[in-house]
Amino acid sequence: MSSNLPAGPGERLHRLSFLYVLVSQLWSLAPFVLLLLIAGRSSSRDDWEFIGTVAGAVALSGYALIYTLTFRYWVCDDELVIKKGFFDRTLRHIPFHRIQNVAYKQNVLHRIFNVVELSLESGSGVQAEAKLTVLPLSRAEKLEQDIKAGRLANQNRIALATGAEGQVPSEASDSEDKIVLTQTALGDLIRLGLISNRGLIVIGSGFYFISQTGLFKANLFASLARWIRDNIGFAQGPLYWVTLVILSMLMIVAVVRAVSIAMTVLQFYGFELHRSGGVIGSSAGLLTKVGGKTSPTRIINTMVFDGWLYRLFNRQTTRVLLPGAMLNVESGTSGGLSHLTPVAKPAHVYALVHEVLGIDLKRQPWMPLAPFAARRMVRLSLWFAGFFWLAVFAALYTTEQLRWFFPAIGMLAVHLIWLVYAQRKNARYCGYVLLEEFLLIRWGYFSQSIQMIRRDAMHVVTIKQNSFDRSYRMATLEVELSTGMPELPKPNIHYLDIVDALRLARDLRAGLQQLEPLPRRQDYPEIAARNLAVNASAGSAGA
Amino acid sequence: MSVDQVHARFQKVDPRMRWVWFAQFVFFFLLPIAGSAIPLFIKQPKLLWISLLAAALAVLFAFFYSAKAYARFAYALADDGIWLQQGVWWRALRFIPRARVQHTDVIHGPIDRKLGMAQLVVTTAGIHFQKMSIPGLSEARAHELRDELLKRRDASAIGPAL
Repeated sequence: MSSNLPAGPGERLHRLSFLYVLVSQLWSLAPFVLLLLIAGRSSSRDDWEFIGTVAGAVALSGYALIYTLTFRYWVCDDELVIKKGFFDRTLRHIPFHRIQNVAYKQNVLHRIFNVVELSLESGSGVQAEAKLTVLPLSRAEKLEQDIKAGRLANQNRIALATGAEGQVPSEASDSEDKIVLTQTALGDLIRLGLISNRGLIVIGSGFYFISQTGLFKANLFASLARWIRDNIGFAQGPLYWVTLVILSMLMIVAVVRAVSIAMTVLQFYGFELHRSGGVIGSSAGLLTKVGGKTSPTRIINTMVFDGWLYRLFNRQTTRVLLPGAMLNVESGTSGGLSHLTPVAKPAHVYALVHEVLGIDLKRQPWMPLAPFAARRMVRLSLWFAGFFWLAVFAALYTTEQLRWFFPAIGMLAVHLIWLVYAQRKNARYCGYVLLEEFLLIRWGYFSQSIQMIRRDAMHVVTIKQNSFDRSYRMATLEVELSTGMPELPKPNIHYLDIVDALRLARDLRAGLQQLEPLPRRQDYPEIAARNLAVNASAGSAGA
Repeated sequence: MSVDQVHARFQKVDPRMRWVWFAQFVFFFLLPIAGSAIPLFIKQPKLLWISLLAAALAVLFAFFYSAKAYARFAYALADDGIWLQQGVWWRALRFIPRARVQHTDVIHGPIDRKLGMAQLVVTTAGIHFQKMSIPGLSEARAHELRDELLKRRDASAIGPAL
């Protein structure tokens, strides 16, 4: 891999790229600016503030302009070469085989000029290999085709070199027909909004903003109390308070759900999952259209979720983890494929999983947890419940509300019976299956998750035991992947019988033995040389 | 969970590691105890026995804990990867497949240099667990282990994930 520039002048970004770079910078600074505006309201203003703002704006515009003007890229046979920067020049060679995902983003501003922001991601998870802000749509599509063609040529070369002809999974081009696997209707998105709690953070920030800026001087709850007094006729007494509390809670729930529905629709409007050749892709979004394409074999972990609210609406949701998923969240560019479907009926979700991964979730021989797993789950939850009720009784005692003692004891009894029932049900539902290509983990009962982890994406297998585990002859099996999300369940199996855990580790290890090693950074020149040699021999064979 | 059940030959590290860990624990505990003892000594010299008792308990704890930690610590090089067993309260038996080793480092800290030891750090691209560290190796053994890990890895390679 030489550090020299390829021949030719290279290609530039779109003429208006600097505008988009500037906007994305301003957007990333928005919370900071908002904080300054709110916090600095009472401070004295002078000219320095104005000068500072102008200087900041000039610096940002200058950066955006330089970034755009110095950005060049070359599409070579087997790599993409990018040159950027003026003061700090960067020359990056990205072999096509390292590009795992191609993610594009198109918001309202992008749609005006029919341009798109393209992110090329590798499996490293540290940062996107390259981000092209912005390209005309046609050029982005062409680039994606080139990458795909380059990757396919590379695979063919390897197959030729190792004699494994015919085993190369065809990534196929987009020229093949696009088959739509699923589309999400607006009604389903509204249901998802009702089920999920997407709005909580926004509402919390909203309340903080209102309380800081004093936009609404009137107290909402005071007006509600006045309304009850005027229209229902209560002004005091327990009924008045009960009505006030119920109405306030209904009001909060209504606001939370409304925001949740709005956010869900914004994110997933027009969701579509499609397949063209061996590649699956998705696109969704009302204002900002986000989408991505990938081969199903690159999906590290596929998850199906379900909870009591989901069951009430007879729906399930899914998540998909690709290499570098963490990086998308960190950089705020949630690109790439992230869901098989945001919400669908369970039968439809299972059919999608079967279609994309070839796993029939209905017919799996789920292996159970250790025999005493239920007992341990019950005990653990009883400890937590014990602390909670201890605090409740202590509060009743210290405030001398002794008449509530007996109702509290009744509630305690109901709670404990419920816990024992729920945890036993939980333990019976949890389990795992080891398939040839996947490890399936099913966890939870009232809030269920099924993880489908691709075995060749595993990095480390760990068996852990604490002293409780040891006394019950149990263990936790932890599987380490190269990607994950804080809010998603970890690929761990708790309360396994130690013999089962060791057996599972052994079987996983047997699978791991077959892995091809990942390329090390110091190997790259060697790989390039080998590729060249293979290329040359392929060329002479063809001649 | 026993070492025999994974069918690999586990090896111990240098016995002096126990005393290195002991010294580290003592340092770790005594620093805050000493920090709190100074104002106590100035304000309430009669209560200094509390600090001394805490220090004695810390040393005692470090003595037993380091012994236990050393007894539990073992590693094994298998054909397909490397095993590590460690932990006193949370015991872990960990396996890194050879193919998932990103890179290895041989590190010599000041104590290592003084005692003629080295530490092998095996790095993977995992998201929660990235580094497996095996201290208390002789320098020759650390290099041998590293070469062994990388050599067979290369020999088993048909080609990287191209």
